Formats: sequence, structure tokens, C-alpha cells
Amino acid sequence: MTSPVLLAIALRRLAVAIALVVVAAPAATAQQPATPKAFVEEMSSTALKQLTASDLTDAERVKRFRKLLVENFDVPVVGRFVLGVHWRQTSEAQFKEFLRLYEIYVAHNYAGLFKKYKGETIDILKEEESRNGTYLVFGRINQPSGPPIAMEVRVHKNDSSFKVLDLKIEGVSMPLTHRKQFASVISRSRNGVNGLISALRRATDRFEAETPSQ
Amino acid sequence: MIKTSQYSTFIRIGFAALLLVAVAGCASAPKDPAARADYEKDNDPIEPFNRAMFAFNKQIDGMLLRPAAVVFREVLPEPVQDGVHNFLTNLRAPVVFANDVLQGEMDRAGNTAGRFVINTTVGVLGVWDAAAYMGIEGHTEDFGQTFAVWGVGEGFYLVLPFLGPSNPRDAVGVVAEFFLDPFNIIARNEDVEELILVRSVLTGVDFRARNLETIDELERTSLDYYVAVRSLYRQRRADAIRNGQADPEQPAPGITFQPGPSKSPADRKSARAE
Repeated sequence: MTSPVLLAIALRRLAVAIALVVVAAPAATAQQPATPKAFVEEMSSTALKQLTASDLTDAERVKRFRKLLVENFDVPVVGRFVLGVHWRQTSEAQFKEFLRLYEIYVAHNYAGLFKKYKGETIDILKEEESRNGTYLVFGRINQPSGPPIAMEVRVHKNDSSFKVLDLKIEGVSMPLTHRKQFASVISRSRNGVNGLISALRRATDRFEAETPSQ
Repeated sequence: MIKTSQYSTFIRIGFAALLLVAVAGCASAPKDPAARADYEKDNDPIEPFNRAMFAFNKQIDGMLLRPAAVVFREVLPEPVQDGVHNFLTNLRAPVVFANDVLQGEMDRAGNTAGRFVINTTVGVLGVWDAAAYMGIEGHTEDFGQTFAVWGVGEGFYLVLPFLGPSNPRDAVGVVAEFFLDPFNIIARNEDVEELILVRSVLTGVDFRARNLETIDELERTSLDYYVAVRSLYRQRRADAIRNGQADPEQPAPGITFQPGPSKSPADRKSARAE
């Protein structure tokens, strides 16, 4: 089978493939936002575009929110933070199931915010370097009536693209609030992290049942 | 002056609260050192009492405050609701101004004073937020924030009856405001103390009405509503005290590392298999 001719063809294919990757790579990275600020700008406008359509069903909005979450957030790092000290007692299988449920939980928690869209706009104001190679991006949500709402996004670069680590609205961090709640659920449960996983499963099952797909 | 009957009511509530603390005892601390560090950061030594008070407030909310807020929202047209909110906000401006000054924030004090003058006159006693229309946005301050700026720690978490999440520092701030607010002083001097209560109730209803969906949604989606509110209160207070500046000390994903080996669950699994 491994005749020199076939080997030569395989090698040439490999060379072509490598050439394609090398040529295509700069083009691909050019599409990636170059700065944390540009990344958050793009994410915000995509979220507004995809989640605020009035003819969207609740179930579809949740589905889209989860997709945007997975694409733009560093979910494993956020999940690890949210589990806090209990992360060390979490097995690989538990962590995987926790992340899956956490994604659904977060999507149901926040997708509804976009349903009440009344023409808010988002201004991304500035970025600054923070600790451990992370960046803080500061923004402002302008309401049609009422004062603007402060927004702070922590991002880092992971595999050549930016990912969100933390999102704060008016000084309130989404992952930190979850971390506190989940720690309380775990400490009150006899089954540790499994107790949290079943609580999350019950909650997400209830959310799914309450969310009409029509 | 406050009527004696009001004082005795306060004392009776306070006594009942103390009794509850004694009966409910203190929350038990976890044994795991890392979990214990988190527990100490939560700083909620009278959690059983606080949870009882939280449940009591939830009952009051369900029976009185929320229904009132729903009626407020459904009966009054939106411009009237905004007018009520603007009026109440403007009424608090002297307190905000005093605290701006006490914190040495002279720019913000000027902003508050300017808004008060504009809104009380052009804005017809504060009903219309004319200053915001002119691009001068407002902010709030209170004595609890001023004490914090002066270096007073928040102390333990404390849920107050009717008033909700607090701590000893902020509770003292609420009492200070009750006695020092020019509105209350005038109302007491003119013997129309009822207005103090009317204003407090209206402020509560306005707050609940403006946050109707947000609070309902928080309760619906929380795994532990009590802890969610405690965490939100702490974070909002810290942010208000910093006047919205970023806090470099707050833990966040990607910069907070747990003690012990920094390995993913998958790594640990293979390490255990070896």
C-alpha cells in the first residue's frame, strides 16, 4: 500500500493543506476582534441583534442566548470560579454535567432581559489592563428613560480569541452572585456537589417547563 | 417629637428581635478551612435570625408591598409614576448633598445642589427631572456610605424588619437620616409627622414598582433567594461607596485561585489513576 507514489501524493496533499492553513490563518485572525474593546463591542451588538427581535419565541431566545454564552464566555473558567472551594472535590464527570446545567441556568436567567427591550443602546467606553493577563472593558447601557446603567466586562485571551470571564452590571457580578448561592446550596446539602447538580437540574427542568416554545 | 406610643413600638420590636436571636442561636461554621474562609467572608453570624426576618419581610412584601406596587403600576400612567419618582428623589436631595459634603466630594455636592435648584423650580417641585433633561444626571448618597468613606467597616449582615438588607453601619446611617433629614425636622416641627410615614411608604412602593420584574425574576430564578439578596446588597453597597469605580480586590473568574494544586478535574483524574 505504501508505494512511493502514494506517499508522494500524501505528502503533496499535506503540503497543500499546510500552505492553505498558513495562507488562511492571517485572514482568519483578521476577522477576530483585535482588542478587548472591539470584542465586547461586537459581542454586545450581536447579542442585541439576535435576542431582541419581537417575534422570537421564549424558547428560541434562550437557545440563542446559550449559544452566544458558549461562544463568547470562557465557561469552564467561570464554572470553576462559581464552584469556588468545592471545585476541588468535583470529578470530571460532575464538572461536565455542572457546566451543561449552568449554561442552561444562566440562559434562562438572563435571556428574559432582552425580551423587555425598549430601544436600549450599549456604548463601550474604554479598556484597561488588569491582573493575570485579563482586561477590563467598561461600557454603558443607555435607557430610553432613566439614568444609564454601568457595565464592566472582564476578558482574557484564550486560544487566540477573547473570552468573557466576568460581567458586572451596576457593580453586581453575575458569577460572584452565583458562587455565593451555590456555596450555600452545597453546604446545606448532604450530597455536596451532587446536591447542587440536582438543585440545578430541578431549576432548569422547571424553567424549561415554564418556557413556551410557541 | 415622636409620640411615646411610637417609641414603645420600636422597643417592643427590638426586644422581640433580640429574643429571636437568642432562641435561633448562631449559624454553625463549616469545618473545611477553605469553606470556612468563604463563610467568614459572608460575615453572617446571625444567619438563622436574618433568615427569619427575611421570611417575615417576604410575607409583608407578598401581602402589602407587591400588591400596592402592582396597583401603582397599573392605575397610574407612566408619566405620573415618573413624576412621583422624581418628586421623591428631589425630596432627598438635601440628604444627598450633606453626604456629598461630608465625604469631601465637592463636585458631586455641586451637582446635587444644582439639580435641587433646577428641579425644584423649573421642574415644578421636583416632579419633572429638568436637570437630567439638561444633561445633569443625579446620584444618591446616604450616611452609611459616608461612614464607610470615613473608614467604618460594615460589620455583620443584618436583615431589618420592613427595611430589609442592612448591617450595623448602614442601620445607624438610617437612624441618623431619620433624625437629620430636613424634611423630617420640618414635619416634626409643624406637627405633621404623618407625612414622614406617608413618604416612607410611597418610597417603598415606588422602589418595588420600579423593580417589579427584576425582583420577581430574581426570586423565581434563585437557588437560594436569601443568599442572592445578601450578595446583591453587599455588591451594590460596595459599588455605591466606591461611586462606581472598579474594585481591584474583588474576586473574579480568571484572577482568583483556590489554594491547593491548580489542576482541572480531568488532570486530577489522570493523576489519581497513576
